[in-house]
Amino acid sequence: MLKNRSLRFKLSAFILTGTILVAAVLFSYYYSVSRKLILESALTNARHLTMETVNSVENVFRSTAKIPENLVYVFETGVTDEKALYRFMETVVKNNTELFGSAIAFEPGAMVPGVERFAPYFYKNNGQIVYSNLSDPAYNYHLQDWYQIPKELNKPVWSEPYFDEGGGDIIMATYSVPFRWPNDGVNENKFRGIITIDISLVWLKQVFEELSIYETGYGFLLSQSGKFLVHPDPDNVMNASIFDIAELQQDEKLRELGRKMVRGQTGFMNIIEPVTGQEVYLCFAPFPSSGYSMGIVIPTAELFAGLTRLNRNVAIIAVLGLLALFGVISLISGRITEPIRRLSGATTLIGQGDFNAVLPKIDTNDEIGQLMRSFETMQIALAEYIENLKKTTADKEKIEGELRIAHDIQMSIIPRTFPPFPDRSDVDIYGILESAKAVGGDLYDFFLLDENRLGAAIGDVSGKGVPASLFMAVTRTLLRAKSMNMKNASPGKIVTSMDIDLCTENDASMFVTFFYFILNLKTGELEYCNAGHNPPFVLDEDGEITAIDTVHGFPLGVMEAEPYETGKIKIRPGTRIVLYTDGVTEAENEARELFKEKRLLETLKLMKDVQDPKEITLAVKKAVKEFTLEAEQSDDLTMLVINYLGGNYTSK
Amino acid sequence: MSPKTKQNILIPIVWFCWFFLLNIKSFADDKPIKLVLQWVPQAQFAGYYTARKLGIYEIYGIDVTIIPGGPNVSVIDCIKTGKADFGTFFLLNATKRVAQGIPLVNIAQVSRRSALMLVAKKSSSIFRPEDMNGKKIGIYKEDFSDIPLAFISNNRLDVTVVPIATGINIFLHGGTDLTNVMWYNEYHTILNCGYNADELTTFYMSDYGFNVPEDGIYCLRSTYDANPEACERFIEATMEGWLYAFQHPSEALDIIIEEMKAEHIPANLAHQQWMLARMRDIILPDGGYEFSTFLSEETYEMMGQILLKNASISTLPAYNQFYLPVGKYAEK
Repeated sequence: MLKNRSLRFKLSAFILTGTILVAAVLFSYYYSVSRKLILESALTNARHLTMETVNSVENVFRSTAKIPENLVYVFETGVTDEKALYRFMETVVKNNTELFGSAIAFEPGAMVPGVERFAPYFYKNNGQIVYSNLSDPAYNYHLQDWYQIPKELNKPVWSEPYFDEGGGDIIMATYSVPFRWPNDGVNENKFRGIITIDISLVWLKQVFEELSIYETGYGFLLSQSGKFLVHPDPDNVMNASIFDIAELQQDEKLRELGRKMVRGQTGFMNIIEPVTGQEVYLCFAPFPSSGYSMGIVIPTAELFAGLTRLNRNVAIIAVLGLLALFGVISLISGRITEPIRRLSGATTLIGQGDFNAVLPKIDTNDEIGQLMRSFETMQIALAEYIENLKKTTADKEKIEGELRIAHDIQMSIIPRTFPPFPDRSDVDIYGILESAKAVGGDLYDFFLLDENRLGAAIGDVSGKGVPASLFMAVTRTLLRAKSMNMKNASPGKIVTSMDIDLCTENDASMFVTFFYFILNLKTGELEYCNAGHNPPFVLDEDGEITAIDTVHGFPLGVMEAEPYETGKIKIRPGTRIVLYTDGVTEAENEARELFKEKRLLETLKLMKDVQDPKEITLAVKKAVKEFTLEAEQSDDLTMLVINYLGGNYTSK
Repeated sequence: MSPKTKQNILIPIVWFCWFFLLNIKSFADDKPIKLVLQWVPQAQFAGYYTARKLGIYEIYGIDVTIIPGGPNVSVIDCIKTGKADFGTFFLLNATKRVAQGIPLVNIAQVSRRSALMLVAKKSSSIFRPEDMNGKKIGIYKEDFSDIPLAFISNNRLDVTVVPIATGINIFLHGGTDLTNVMWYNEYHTILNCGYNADELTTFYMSDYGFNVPEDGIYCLRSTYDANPEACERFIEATMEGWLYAFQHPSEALDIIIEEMKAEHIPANLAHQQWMLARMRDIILPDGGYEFSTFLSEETYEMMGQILLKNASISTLPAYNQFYLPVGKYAEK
């Protein structure tokens, strides 16, 4: 994916990705820590606020509770006079502004013997203290919660809040303290009744309304049974319980919260606010004396509003910063890669052959500068090399041209016009000389010594190339010269004479295998001399193949030795003499196998009835080529075939 | 106009047309009917309020006025004095009144099973009736006490009975170990004071041989004799009201809440929702919508024996005098 992108892009991408990753990790860490810190501090604040509220409310409940508790104390220690009791109660209600009313309710017959219900009640009404007796049988105070519960539990109890009897919306609560007498430690200490005080809880609403909890946070108060005593929604107050809301919302978590609260637990919880449906944090704690429980609701969004704002700003800064970073990276990477790009342009030109293309100038000494200087050096070296190459190539071409000329010259010194003697019917000749290199060391030659005698030779100079070709030229020149000067000399003599000349000042120690014969065309007598050459084959008129395998000595030029002798055979008309060099028998195929005499003989056998020397020659050549196939020709391939037809010489 | 109110109007129209086409007796010459209920408006009476609100009574050719009950309303006094023609009673209470010589007749036994139950906190180690021995049991006075007392006596329990005027606060505070409650009412209040059902042991009276149904419709024998046909229509229309309330609970709850607000009674939706659902269990205990207002002699006798045993009555009024099968739902 990145493979085809520019260096600048890759650099920017990698650095930016890295930066974003680092920033993201940093940001997440910072965010989670900040969140935790904020939550912790909010929890602490909420706890403080809750405890403050609990304490201030508790102070009221506790100080109010002292009134009936003191009354009980006074009462248990001796006020048994009815009139004194009334006076005492009236004073208490009058003197305690927070009191709405107070009652002393007796067990049947406890105060006035024989009276079932006796419960004087003093309460405030329009600033006046009013007396009433709660003895109405229909009301039956003995079965009322305020009487029955503390009686059954034998301990003071704050009642569930209730609306005042007047049908107004004043929420009231009653604190009931059981009393017993006689308290003299002698007689049976029996439950005698309940002393109550009624207080208005309206002030509680104000306490909660004054709580400042973020923007829309609020406090609420639950009764012992989970009923809302204070709540922002007036429909819930004194009507629904937190469990009713939980049931309607099918919110198990809210129900669990309610259970914790009515059990008097303290805690901090994360819930969904039923009305707004928003996530909120809730801190709750009980009022120990009354068993009511308060909660503080903190909308999470507001709790983290500061953090959210901060996050937004950080995000904006991050985006801007990354953009700036991208710009800077882009600029720097552009600066760094610019010479590389220019260099790339210049090298493309160099690659296309413009060795003088101007390389960009770099002053720096960094990697790019070094690269540039390396390129400069390379450019100079390249230019020089190419210059040399041109010169060398030109030289080589010149040599090759000269060699071509040498080849032409070499070819021109051997007879290549076939048939050579078109006017003669007694003999036909065909020869090939195919050099492995431009010039070769093989040679053949033939000429008429006189009207009836044909001289013919084949040779193979050691080595190849120009030296061999020169040596071949010398050999051929010597052969012609000697043959012409010593017309009646035998082949042995001529070869011996040539050997002497070739050995003289032969510093290069070259030599040549050589086969020379003279054929009397009239008689068929054939004199020959073989100086280390491959034995030629003779195909007689019946198709018999024999080799002329007498060798008379070393190749020429090796050493001046005994004179070469002359061998003699007689051939009949229709005989064909096949001369060849080891270029035929030692032709190599790709498997480095040699063609060998065996294959040459097989080819010749196929040619036993063929008279045409050209056909025989080309057949052998073809066989060799089919054998060697693609293999490079390693040696000169030379053949000379003479077809002796015999008969009288007739000029055609 | 919301689709719902549109429906409210359409239904009476359809019914009206149906009645008109069948040419059922015209209602113009009937005098208005006054019904007094045992207690303040709540889902316990959803059928009556729904029938009235949707005009089902009118379609049946009767003009019904509902007098809500409450602490200051005595149903029997209303009927005796002619302030009301019909009233609702628990079967037990009505039987006691008849035994005292008041000529009431049951013309529809609407409730089909007992909703009375005893509840204990498991934390008081009460799991079976015998665990109640030595415990304090809160029992509502008079009208609600017959069956719990019979239960105590039947199970030979040695318990301290704490008579209770109203509410469950004494139970919640631990002043009593058990309390008797109505399934559709106080039991839910206990749940919604933060007690989970699995923290409570419940004893449904119906499971202990006291399946005495409660709410029924009553009137004086003379009222019935004067216009039995109007009684029939009143019962049938009321049951139509219940059908509609059970089929459209949220609409019925709206009607109830509205009535409660009109009476300045705290309207607790969750509580009313529970109550309506339980009323369905009580009125249609077999599920489906097969209503019955029939009171079997067997049930009546079973209930009578409880009252006789408790000495709440000295003689049981004759079944045929007490119950009159009225209307199509009584055909059983």
